[in-house]
Order: sequence, then C-alpha cells, then structure tokens
Amino acid sequence: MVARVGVSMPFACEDDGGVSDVSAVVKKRAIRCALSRVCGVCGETLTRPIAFVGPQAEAQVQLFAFPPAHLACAESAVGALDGGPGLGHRSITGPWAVVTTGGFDLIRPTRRGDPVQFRPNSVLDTAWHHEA
Amino acid sequence: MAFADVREYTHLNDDEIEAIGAELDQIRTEIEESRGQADRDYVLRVIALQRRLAAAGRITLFASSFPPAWLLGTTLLASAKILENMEIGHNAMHGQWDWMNDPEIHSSNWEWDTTQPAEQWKHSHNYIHHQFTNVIGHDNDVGYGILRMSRDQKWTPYNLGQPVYNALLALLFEWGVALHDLDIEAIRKGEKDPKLLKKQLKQIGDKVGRQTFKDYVMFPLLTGPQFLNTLTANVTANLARNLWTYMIIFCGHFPDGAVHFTEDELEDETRAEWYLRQMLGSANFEGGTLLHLMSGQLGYQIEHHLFPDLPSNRYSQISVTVKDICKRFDIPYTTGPLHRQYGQTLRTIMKLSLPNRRTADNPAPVAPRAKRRLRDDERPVRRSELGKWSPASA
Repeated sequence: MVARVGVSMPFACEDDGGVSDVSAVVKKRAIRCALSRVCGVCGETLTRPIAFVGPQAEAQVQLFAFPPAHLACAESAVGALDGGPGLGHRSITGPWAVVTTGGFDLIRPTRRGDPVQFRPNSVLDTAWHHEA
Repeated sequence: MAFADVREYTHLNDDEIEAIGAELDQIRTEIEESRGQADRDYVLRVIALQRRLAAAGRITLFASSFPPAWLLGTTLLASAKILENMEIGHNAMHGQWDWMNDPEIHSSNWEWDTTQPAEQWKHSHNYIHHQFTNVIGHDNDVGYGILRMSRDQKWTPYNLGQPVYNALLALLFEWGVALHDLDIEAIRKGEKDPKLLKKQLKQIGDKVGRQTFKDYVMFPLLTGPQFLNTLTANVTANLARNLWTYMIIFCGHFPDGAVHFTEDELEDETRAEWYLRQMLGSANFEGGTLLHLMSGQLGYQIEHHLFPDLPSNRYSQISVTVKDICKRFDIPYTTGPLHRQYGQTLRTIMKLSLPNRRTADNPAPVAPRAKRRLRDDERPVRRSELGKWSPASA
C-alpha cells in the first residue's frame, strides 16, 4: 500500500486488518512499537539512537504522538512529507523535527479514548526539516 | 473474569482510581528525576560480577576431573547464566538502562545468553505479556500454552497430564521460551503468517545454533581432556538456570491472590486502570538482597509490572510506597516467602489438571453481581449546577 505522501504506509499508521491512514496513529500499534522496541515506520527492531519525529510543537515540549523509529526511517519519512502533514498528524504548523535519544518513556493516557504519547528521556540531538 | 467484576476492584470509585494513578505517577516522576550515576554504577557492577562469575566458572572447569572443581565451576557458571538472564538481559531488553545511552547496555543491542532471540522476547514478553497481563487468550504466559492456570480456561482430558507437562516445562524452560513467540495456537489454527513464521524459525535456528556451539562444543573443546566434564557442567548449569527462572517467573502471576482476566477491551483503559490491572495480576515474594538479585528483582513483580522500564535496582525503594498505597486503598498486595508462593503455584497446577467440578475453588475473587463496579453509563450523572455557596449564584 502506498501512502498519500508517496512512501510506504508507516507501520504505526496501519491496523492489523490492513486499514491505514497516514494521518492517524493506530493506538495498538503505537503501544506495540514502544514495548516491543520496533520502529513505527518500518516495524523492524529499533537500533540506537532512537529517533522521534514530530512537528515543532511536539519537539518543543518533548512529547510525541508518533512512536519511536530508526533514525534513517524517520529522516526518510520526513523527507517524503516535504513539510506537509502525515505520520499521525492531519495538519501541522512549523517545520518537522527529528529528535534522537538513547531512551524514551511511553505515556499512557489518563482519559479513555486519548492516544498514547512518547517522551524521549536522554535527548542527543534535534534536527529541523523545513519544507523543500 | 472481566476486570469490572474483580472483587478487589469493585469498591473503588473513579476518583479513587485516579488518585491511585496520580500517586503512582508521582513515584515514576521521582525515580526518573533521580536516576543517574548511582544507577549506572549498579548495573555496571552487576555486569562486572556476572562476567567474573562466568570467567571463574569456565577456568575452574579446566580442573573438572576433580569433582569439587566440577561442582564449583558448574555453580559459578549457573550463577552467571542466571544473573545474565534475570537481572541483566531481561531488564536491559525492557529499556531500563536506555536512558544511559550506553552502546552496549541498550534494549536494541542486548542479546542474552539463552536460545530465544532477543527480538522475539521483546515482542512476546515486553508487549504481549506486559500489555495483556493475565488476560486469558491474550497473555501466552498464562500456562505457556500447555498448562491450564485458571478455572476460566476450559478443561480437557489433556489437562490430566499437567504435572508431567509442568515438570518438563521447568526442565526445558529455555526451549519453551525459545518457541514462545511462535504462537503455537495461531500455527495450529492456520492463522500464522507463513513469512513471519519462516523468519522467526530462522532466527531461532541461528540462535540455537550459536548457543549450542558455545555451550556444548566450543567451551568443552577448550578444556581439552576435560571435554566430557565441561560438557556435563554446561548441561547442568543450563538445567539449573532453567529450573530457577521457571520458578521465579511462575511465582510472578500464579500464587493465590493474583487475578486473571477475560475482558479483552484493554486498549482503551486509562493509565490508572492499567496500573490497577498490573497490581492485581502480579505477585511478589519476600527475600534478602541476594535472592532479589538472582531473581532479577522479580520478587518485586508488582513494581516491575507497574514500571517495567524503570531501573530494577529501584524496585525495592518503590515497593515501600506501592505497599502503602495498596494498604490505604484496600487493594491486595500479594506477597509471601518464595517457598509459599511457589507451593501455591504448584497446587494450582495440580488442581487445575482436574475439571472444576472435581476441585474446590480457591478464595473467589468474583464479586456478587450487585456489588460489581458500575459501568460509566450506570453511574449517576455528576451534578454540575452551582451551589448556594458559590459567588456565581449570589
């Protein structure tokens, strides 16, 4: 399946039945990525450093909606977005950020229906990706 | 049983559940803010100790024709394997030390000294077991697919052999764990993706090959004329590790008091509800520092299930507050000496080899229907109008 942005559908945006939406993160997949330590983009085992990708607002508060990813997968996905929305976001303002970290915390929701979030706990670097 | 029907849960209202969640969040925050060099030093000390034990064991086995040397070498080696699997490997793969950003001690890099590939463990244990803890039909750790561990599970004549299956599982635990993520049930039903199955079998084959070569060919050969003695020492060390890890793991969820669930609508539970399910589904055991070290701090199974990614050396500290929370909110904190916890587990395995009608239930955790916790739509709507004391109503 090919996503709107022209890259293969991210693992975290597709449910077990194959239904997918690049602008929404599937909660079950997000939890699985966090606990199984697999990449939210390709679904394979994570490597160090771990990367988080999100819009400016998420990078500023260090709280991400999209699960952890390989650095290469994160950069490739952001490059394919070309400044537009995706990876769990229907719209974004500002540039995309790729934050690398040694570890992260899974933040479970306090209200039913809310999504899980991810907080990098040992940030190494933040790279900004502006629209081409 | 469904989570909402668990007796230990029914007396709590929404505000109390949220209050418990907030207190547990506070514990997490405190540990995250204070973890640092002392924690790093701890894990480095444990790894150094494990490597010294392994080296001492391997060296001692050069003299293994002398029976006391064989016994000492085997004991050192078994201790090293237990320490590596329990306190180091298991916890590293949970990401407990990822915050250190150490290239070696990291959940993505650690490959442990057992036949199951780390990648498969991180799925079957970190995700399936920790996300669906004690949910029958979801958590494959409930009986490892071969034992009936809850009265909610259907009995068949196959279960009569449980005492034998249990003994075999204990002896061959490493191999049972190696096959754990294959999901034999899914294969049997023809639901397993053949490509995934092939990939997993290759991973297992490669890992088994490496482990077998290391323990049963390379190290015995290195000791030259002591080949057979070293071989039997390695077999014995692996056997001892199997028995120990089996016992510790089974004591985490099957002593009396640990609850099993049947409800599968778990993805939408709140953080506080998730905390509660982990607390009710897990059981601790008591012991000294050495026992907790050699069991990977799983004597603090409740704390481990609440905070699987916090450093294991902090569970003892965390347990003081968790126990206090349980006391204040009248929630069971299941614990006891290791021998009692395992005795209860063994009794359950034996009892459940028979149909329910042939055995008495253990203290029933099911609440009378009238006392079950109300669903949100059954609760009275919270009053929202302002009272007379409100300035807005004046």
